[in-house]
Amino acid sequence: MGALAVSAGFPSPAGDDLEDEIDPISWIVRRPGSTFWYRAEGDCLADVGIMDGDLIAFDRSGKKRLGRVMLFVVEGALTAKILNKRGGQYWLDPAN
Amino acid sequence: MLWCISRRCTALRNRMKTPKSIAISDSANFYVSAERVFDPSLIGVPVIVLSNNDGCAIARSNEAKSLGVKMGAPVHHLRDKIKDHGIRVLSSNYTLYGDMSRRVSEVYDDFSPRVEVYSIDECFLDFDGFKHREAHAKSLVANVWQRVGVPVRVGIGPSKHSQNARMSWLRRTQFSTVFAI
Repeated sequence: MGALAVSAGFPSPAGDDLEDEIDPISWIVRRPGSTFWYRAEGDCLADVGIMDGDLIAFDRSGKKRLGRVMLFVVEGALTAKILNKRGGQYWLDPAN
Repeated sequence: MLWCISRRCTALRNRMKTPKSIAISDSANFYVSAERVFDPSLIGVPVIVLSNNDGCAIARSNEAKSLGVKMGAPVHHLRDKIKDHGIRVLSSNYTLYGDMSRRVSEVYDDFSPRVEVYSIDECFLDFDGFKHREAHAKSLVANVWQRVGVPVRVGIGPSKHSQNARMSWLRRTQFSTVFAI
């Protein structure tokens, strides 16, 4: 391989200031190792903005909190509902 | 001369006081466990995962093992057993298993400065110099369960070789969680 002078233009004035591309997913996902993605079926969470076909990210290490949309296992099936407490009992509420 | 001997004795005594400590963590019935995270209807029932081309059983849930399904059993030998006991049969999904394995290793990275991935479901973790190793291992097990959803078992001992023997014993006896010597 011989030495060849190749013109490469002049260095970009922005070369020192480049940042990573915008990655909105990284704004949503705090802990990728424990975050799993699901696709919503049905409209039972429409009032909180989750529509049929939407992609939802669930963090298994997230804190259990009342009023939060969480993933539950009910009779062997996964369902996304809001956890509420009424009369000393927990309820899994839809939002539509 | 005497001074040299006494220095070596001290070093030897120090090594014996704090022996090397290695933990081996293995995931129970890993392929089945990975599938169960995404389909909870597989929990508590006999499940087998088949090899490429759906040839043989390469993973069995404890319930399937109790029914006598052997590792590597060709599926055409199992047809009656599958029908009689309602065994759930799944094709393998290596993309899934690889991803779940990576997630488990990431949890291990929080519990040891040196993690060696031995296979898709087994890792060695350096526990050298750790205090309260069993409590640490129990916390590791709980963390993997919470963050990934896969059950793991941990054996703690002085060497990798002794670990393999220990894990074979662990698997055969279906001992749970943490085992230390």
